[in-house]
Formats: sequence, C-alpha cells, structure tokens
Amino acid sequence: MSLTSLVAERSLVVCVGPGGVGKTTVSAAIGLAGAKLGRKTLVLTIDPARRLADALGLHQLDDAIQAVPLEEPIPGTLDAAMVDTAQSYAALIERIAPDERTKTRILANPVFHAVSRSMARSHAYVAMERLYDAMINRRYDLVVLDTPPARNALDILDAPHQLARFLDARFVEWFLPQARERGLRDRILAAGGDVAKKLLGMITGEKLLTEIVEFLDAFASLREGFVQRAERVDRILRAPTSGFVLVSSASPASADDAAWLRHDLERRKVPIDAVIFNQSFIPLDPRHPLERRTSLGAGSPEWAWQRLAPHLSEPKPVPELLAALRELRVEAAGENARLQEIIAGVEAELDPACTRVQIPRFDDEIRDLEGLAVLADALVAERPR
Amino acid sequence: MNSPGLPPLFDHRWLLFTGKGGVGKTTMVASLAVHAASRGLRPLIVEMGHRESMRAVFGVDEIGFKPRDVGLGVHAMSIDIDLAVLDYMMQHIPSRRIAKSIVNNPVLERLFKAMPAVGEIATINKLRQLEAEKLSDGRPRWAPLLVDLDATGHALMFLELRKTLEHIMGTGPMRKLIESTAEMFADPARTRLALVTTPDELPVTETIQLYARLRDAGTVAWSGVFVNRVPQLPFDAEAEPSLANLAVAARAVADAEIQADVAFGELAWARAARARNQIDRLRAAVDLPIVELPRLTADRLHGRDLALLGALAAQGGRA
Repeated sequence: MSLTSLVAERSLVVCVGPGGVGKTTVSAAIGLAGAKLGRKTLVLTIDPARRLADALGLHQLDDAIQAVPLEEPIPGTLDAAMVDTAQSYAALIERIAPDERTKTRILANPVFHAVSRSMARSHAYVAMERLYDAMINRRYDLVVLDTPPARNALDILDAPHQLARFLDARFVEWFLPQARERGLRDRILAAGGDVAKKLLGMITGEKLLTEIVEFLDAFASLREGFVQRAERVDRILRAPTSGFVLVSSASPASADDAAWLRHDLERRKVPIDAVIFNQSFIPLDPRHPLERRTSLGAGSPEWAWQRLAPHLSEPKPVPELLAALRELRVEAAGENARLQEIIAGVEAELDPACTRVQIPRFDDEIRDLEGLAVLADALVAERPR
Repeated sequence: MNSPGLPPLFDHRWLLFTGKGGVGKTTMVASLAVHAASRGLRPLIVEMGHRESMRAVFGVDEIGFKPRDVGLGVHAMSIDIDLAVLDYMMQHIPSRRIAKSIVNNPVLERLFKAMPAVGEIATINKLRQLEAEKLSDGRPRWAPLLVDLDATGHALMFLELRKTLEHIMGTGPMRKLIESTAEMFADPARTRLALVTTPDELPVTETIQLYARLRDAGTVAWSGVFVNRVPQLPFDAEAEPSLANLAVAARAVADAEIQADVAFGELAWARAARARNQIDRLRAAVDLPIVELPRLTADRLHGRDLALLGALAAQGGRA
C-alpha cells in the first residue's frame, strides 16, 4: 500500500520512531497531505517545539484542538493540538470524575501531580487518552498521532494500560481495607497488604505511602473507566483501519534504533505499513530537490572554465572557486552512496508489503506551511512499489 | 559573553550528558570514554533504557545490566528500569525470604513499577552502587562514570527529582538517597554536566532553555556545551562576492552541472552562515565553554576516529 493510499484510506496513522529524526514534522506533513486529499484531519503531537506551531501558522498551538489557518483552499481540513501532559491529565479528571468531591481530591493530591507532570511514562499515556477522545467522537476522517521517541514497542503499546495497571484491582484492595470484602482469600490478601504497606513504608517513608493510599482511594472509583478505555484504545491501535508509520533518518544510529523498534513491534503483531527515511539523501542539484543521485554527470570544471570565461564580469570568480564547488558535490554524492547503503540494509529486512519512502535532506529546517507543503508533497509523490 | 576554557573533564567522578535526540550524544560519550581509557583511566559508560546504542558503536552483540568490556579499554552497561527496581527492593528489604516473595509477587512488582518516581529512584540507586564499587586495592572500580541521561526531558527528571518529590517524600532511605544524590549532582568537585547539540535552531533553542532552567535551579555543576557537526565554510570567504557572477555565466552557457555546482555552493555557504549564527546565539545565552566539533563524514566511527574525536573534545575543540 502506498503512503498516498494509507493517508487517503486509513482513519488513524501512528508515527513512531527514535528521537531527532523529524518525526513531529513528518507527522504534521502527513496530516497536511491527508487534508489535501480531502479528508477532515487532526494532528496530535506531543513535541513542545515552538517551531511546529510556527510551521502550522499557529502562534498559540496548545492543548486545545485548533484549526490550522491554511492560506490556499484545499479540499479537506486540518486541525492540530499539542498535547500538554499536565493540562490533559487535569482535563481528563474533570471529564471522568463522577462527582465534585472526587475531582477535588484527585486534583489536590501530590502523587497525582507528580504523575501528571514529570514522570517518565506520562507523555505516552496522555497521548493515548487524547487519541481515544479524538477517535471516539468520529469528527475526523483521519487522525495522525505523533508519539514520543520510543525505544521499544512496549513504550507505545503499553501506554494505554498504564493507569489501569496502576489501579489494578488487587492492589487497590490491598491498600484500601474498606474496599475489601470478607472471606478467607480476602483476609489472606489483607495480611499481605499489611506486610506490603510496612515494607513500602520503610523504603518510601510514611508520607509518600499515605499519599499513595489517598491517591489510590480517590482513583479507585474511576478504575473501571480506565480499564475500558485502555481496551478500546488497544482495539483502535490494532484495527485494520489503523496504520503504523516508522520514521527514521539514514544516520547509522537512528537506523539501528528504528530497526530495533520495528522488529519489536512486529514481534508483538503490530506490522509497520510504511517506513519513511527522513533526511535520507542530499539533492545534488538543488533545483531538483526530489532527485536522488549518487553520482555526478560527466564534464570537468577545468574544461567548463574555458566556456565560462567570456561571460564573467567583475568581481571575477577564480577557477579555484568552481573547483571547490564541484568538490562539495562530489563529497555529497559519496555521502549519498553511503546513506543509500544504510537504507538498503534496513530495507532488506522489511516485509515486501511495507512501503518505503525517502525524503531528501531539505536544506533548511521547515519553518512555515509552505515548507510543510513541500514535505507533504514529497511524501505522497513516491509511487507505490 | 566570554566563554572560559573547558575544565579538565576527567577530574570528576561523574560526567553527565544530555541533548536533544539525534545530535550525536552517543558518539560524544563513546569518544570521550575511549579517550579517558587511552589516558589510563577506567571509564564506564552508563546508558538509560533499552537503547543500547553502544552496541553499534563498539560492535558488540549485547549491552546489559552488568558492565561489560566493549573494547578499547571501555566498559559499558545499560540500566533497565525493571531490573533496577528489583535491585532496589532486594537491597532494602531486611529478610531475603520476604524480599524474594515480594519480588515474585506480581501485584507488588507491578505496584513498584507503576509508582511515580520509583523507576528514577531505582536508577539513581544503581548509579550509586556503581560509584561505590572498588578494586581490590581500594581504588574506585569505575572512574569516570559517563552517564548518557538521554533527551533533555529525561535528564530533567533526574536532575529535578528532589524538587518534584519534595512534597510527597517523607523520611526514610528513599529520601536519603535522593538528597545525597542531589548534593552530588550539584557538587562541582564530583559531577559535571555536558550539553550536546548541533548548530541548528531547534537543538540550540532546547540547549539554551535547559541551561537557563538548570542554572536558575542550581541543581547541577557544569562542564560545557559540545556542538557537533559544525559545517566548515565551503570556500574562501573572499570568493563569495564573485559567486553571483559565476551563476550568471553558468546560465549563459546553459551548463546544467555548473548551474547545480553554483546553486549547491550557495546553499552550503548559507548553511555555514546559519550554523555560525546559531553558535553565536548559543554563546550569547550560555555562559559555559562552547566546544565546536567538525562534521565527520565517516559512516561509522571506529577505534581511532573515536580516540581522535575524544581527544579533540577533551581539549576544547578546534583551536
């Protein structure tokens, strides 16, 4: 399936990949490509980079979904939101808390604050909650999800379950005696809970333990909802209408990371539909930026110089300048050959059905919608294999 | 703002590294470790998470939770959070029998993994264990310890752990560990943090922001900023004004290759100028030594390249 059909037909495209390969920009460009194909599109990104907001022409890109102000009319629409972890968590609690008291208790709890602000796995979880929201409302034909840089499949696939797991019924019972029913099994569990509490208290100190119990208590009533949503997100991620796009660059380090991630995802039965090699070649002729070449045409600068000489005006270029310029391109051609070798190595292990797209190293960082449109066109320009 | 010279890197027990993804942290850490080893030190590279980037750099099949010899006098390991949590539990639970039963209890095991900050705390605990390891003659087994803290967000979690947890941390061994580690990170005699970037807008902005935040918080002692892949000027500066005339002539003779040469050269010139602007921006905002390192074209760096790059970085970059 070509990237064009993926963008035209799927209802969810999840962009995964290591850090520093331009994943967020590629996600935004995929969204724009979808909108150009007439789809109502939403891009959910987690990258707090100012540049993306600027590129989308949104000076206040934040947690709320906004329409991207497109200059030229296109058949579809493009909305975007930059997921802010703390804000999204707070909005989530606002939405799902059964009553005012529960809401206040949770929002005031310091453990909740620690979880929602800065802890390792929060980003991915909140992105999944936002995804659920966007998918369940069915207001969009296509949702593009930009995920946090991931090392392994679990970083992505486990994300929806994190809160549900934290609220695992068994340890909620252990820690909250009032939630317990009476029976032999429960009494044994209770004894285990007391031991566990004592041990935890020794390590964490009494205060943290008290706060954790308070947090669990406040959250316990929400548990069922977390479990259900996690399961639905799971189904959404694995639905045939969802596609996974792996974004890599052609540098050896990110190619290694990307290969590792792809392998891990496939092991968990999540096939990669397309691999995008971003910044994968240097256009040897800047006037044709999509042309992929690993060698230069014939003709030496020395020979050309004689023809050029009559046309040169002051300040006159010296022959060494032309030689230096040619040398730059010769080096670039050599680098392209090396990059193609790295890509070939990654491609050799891909499923034949997996689409591969190579995006050139654009000379400048993409900083506006125009630049993003060039990238979007390059993404869908590639013919299916 | 003046940038003072880079302080000697290997006088400190801990060398911490962070920077945006894709800026070349792995290469930086590896090359400094190789250089440290060449000077007779016993460097250990510590990576976070499951990345094991050092596998590819040193060409080894696996990097795990135990330090291993990766060649060139360097040892490396990768801290797996789950294993670190297990380690931590075993260490703090008085009876081995109880510890084992808890480690084997799936409910408690999950609780530990899901609890806020436990992964970070267990990681720090592991770092402190490595610090305490001694050779038979009593010298530290690992010196320096080069820790790749990964992307800046991840690094902040470690460097601001005390602040994040101050309202929920009671007394106990966990608090003691966090306090003493926060002190260690802030102690210029023991620890230095190096920032790694490329001369591009986004990584430079992130570096400036991270610097400002950590400087104001005072939570860490500084090394310097390593700027990777600084492009060289593509041709002599005196030739630049004549470039436009070359473009005119190339169009006159309709030579596509020469037109491409000129267009390519113009872009390369602009790129070098942009990089220079970004480095100037960095110098203006960050009061640390700035170490410029050239773009290396080799596809993968091996032994000698790493040693050379490490030596260049340690002496403060190109003169």
